[in-house]
Amino acid sequence: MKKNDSLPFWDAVKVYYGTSLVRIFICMFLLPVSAVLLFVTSIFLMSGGKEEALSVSSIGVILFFCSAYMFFIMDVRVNSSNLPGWKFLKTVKGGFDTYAKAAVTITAVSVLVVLLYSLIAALLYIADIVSLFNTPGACFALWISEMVLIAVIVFLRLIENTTVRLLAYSAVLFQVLLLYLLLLHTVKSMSAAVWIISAAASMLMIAVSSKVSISYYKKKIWEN
Amino acid sequence: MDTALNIKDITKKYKDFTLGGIDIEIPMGFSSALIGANGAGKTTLIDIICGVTANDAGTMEYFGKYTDNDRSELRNMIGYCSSANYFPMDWNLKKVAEVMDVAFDNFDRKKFSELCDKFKLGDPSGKKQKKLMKMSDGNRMRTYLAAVLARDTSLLVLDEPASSLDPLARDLLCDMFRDYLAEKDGERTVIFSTHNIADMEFVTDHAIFMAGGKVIEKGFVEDLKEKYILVHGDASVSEKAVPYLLSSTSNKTSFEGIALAEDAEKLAALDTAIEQPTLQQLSIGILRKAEQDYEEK
Amino acid sequence: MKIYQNSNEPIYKQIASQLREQILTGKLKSGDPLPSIRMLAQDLKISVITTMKAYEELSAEGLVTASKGKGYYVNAKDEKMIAEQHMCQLEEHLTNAIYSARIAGLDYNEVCETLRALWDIED
Repeated sequence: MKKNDSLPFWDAVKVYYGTSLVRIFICMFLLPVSAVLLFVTSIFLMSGGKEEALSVSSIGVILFFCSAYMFFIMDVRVNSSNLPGWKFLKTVKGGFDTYAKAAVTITAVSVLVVLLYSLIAALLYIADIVSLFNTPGACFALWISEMVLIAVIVFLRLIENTTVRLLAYSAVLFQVLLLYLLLLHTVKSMSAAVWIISAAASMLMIAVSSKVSISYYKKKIWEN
Repeated sequence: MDTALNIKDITKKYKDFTLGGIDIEIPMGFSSALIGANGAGKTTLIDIICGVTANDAGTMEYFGKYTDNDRSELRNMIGYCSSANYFPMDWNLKKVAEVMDVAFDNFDRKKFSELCDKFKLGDPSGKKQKKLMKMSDGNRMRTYLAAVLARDTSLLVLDEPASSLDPLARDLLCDMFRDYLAEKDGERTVIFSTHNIADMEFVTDHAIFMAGGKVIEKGFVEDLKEKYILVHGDASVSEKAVPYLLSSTSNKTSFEGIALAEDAEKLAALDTAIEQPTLQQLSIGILRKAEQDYEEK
Repeated sequence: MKIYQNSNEPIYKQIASQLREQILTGKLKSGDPLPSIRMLAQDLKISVITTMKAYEELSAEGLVTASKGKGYYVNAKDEKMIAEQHMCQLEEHLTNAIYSARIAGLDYNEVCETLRALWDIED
């Protein structure tokens, strides 16, 4: 006689983060964007209004950097075994199922945020307003690097010590940043087919790594 | 008498500590206290009971029908509360109410507001909200207690609820326990741990003494008070009296200790004062014996 | 009900004797329910096991009966039993009096005289 004990994913997020899913999504989207706007405005003002002073690749790097840290910070709350609230979270309705739902939802939101950036960049490019990325390849570089980053963050949850995790994260970020810069300079033109295939492959990669890390987490850390 | 929780041979091994072979029957409808020094294993046992930590061996039976595999049913029935870091530090009363409402089926917001008022914490729906990290230890603990008491649970399991509370708040907590037990007369049970039973003596029905990861004595308080006696006497008599005592302290003029009631006559014959011990005195005697046994090893 | 938390007499005995008196003097009539053990514990600010032990003692004496799920009720008045109870109390009081007399060094006749004097006052 098993009672239905699971929470819907938006409630799972509410329990682990204390705020609604909508607020989290907006936060994760806006913070890196505002960092970029701040950067653009300050460069603009400093260079006396010269458009050319804006290097498109630096915009991309700022966006990448800020969103990367955003994803990391938001993910830390889910694996909260070192933070206050851990024992409470182990006893809420749904137990591990609630944790898994919160973890997967945050990963999904991270992917959606990157998707949204790419869409906005594409729309701006098509509408010929401004080209945030000088080539379609630049957008592709951002997408792939962010996806790889998200897939790796998901495994970093398994490191219990927050300091070690931060160091590991910084190391990973550096590597992925190099990947981003490499892709930026090598991929100048893209065919739609490559785009679609790589987009699908990266989403699959995240889904797999998320599932593996969550089951590993359950065995090694939750059922301690 | 019904059993709320039947703990059989529960074991948990850590690197430098083992919680070994715990066997306890928690009676339903009463308040049971886990009494022991820091490091005795009370928190570990409580964590295992509430599903926070997994046990290495042994079984538990809740309310005569659930086991530790039935966590999904048990989560709403058990009200667990730790003494520190129970909620994230950036939460305030409003957030506590919001999350508790989502996290459990039986959280009553109205009751939570009433309890916040009783504990002088403020209004969860008010405009100015203080974050937990800015509250004193005592107020933080009161917040945790208000949150767990606002739920309609069948088993309340509290880890050191009184340690950061002042005497007035402890008295209020005792009243809250009695209200909790009286509300569903006989169906609700309380388990709490403490390393200082003095203030909680009048709300303890059943006591379990722990030391070094083991249960060293247990029983209903009234039965324990008849099983043991408190003995005082002059130092001159101490040598003859000490062999009968479980444990004792002495100085140049007098000695005092706990002994079994069956030895009362022999001790009375030695010109000592004998009386019924309070739970506090009993705890001191029993825990002191455990400490002495440990040192002898 | 009044109880002394810091007295030498165990609290459950205090409760039992006060209830016993109420039953024997008729303040609590046969069939009357006693307060539930947990409510009494709430009112007196003591543990439930103490009130339960008090009730169990009265139950063993035949003064009250536990009805499963409903609590404790005062038993029907049994004249013989009441008389026995009163006799018990009398014997207890007299034993205390004899003890005091021995300490004071009074003999049997002196005690009887005191008893006669007090009895006449009561009349």
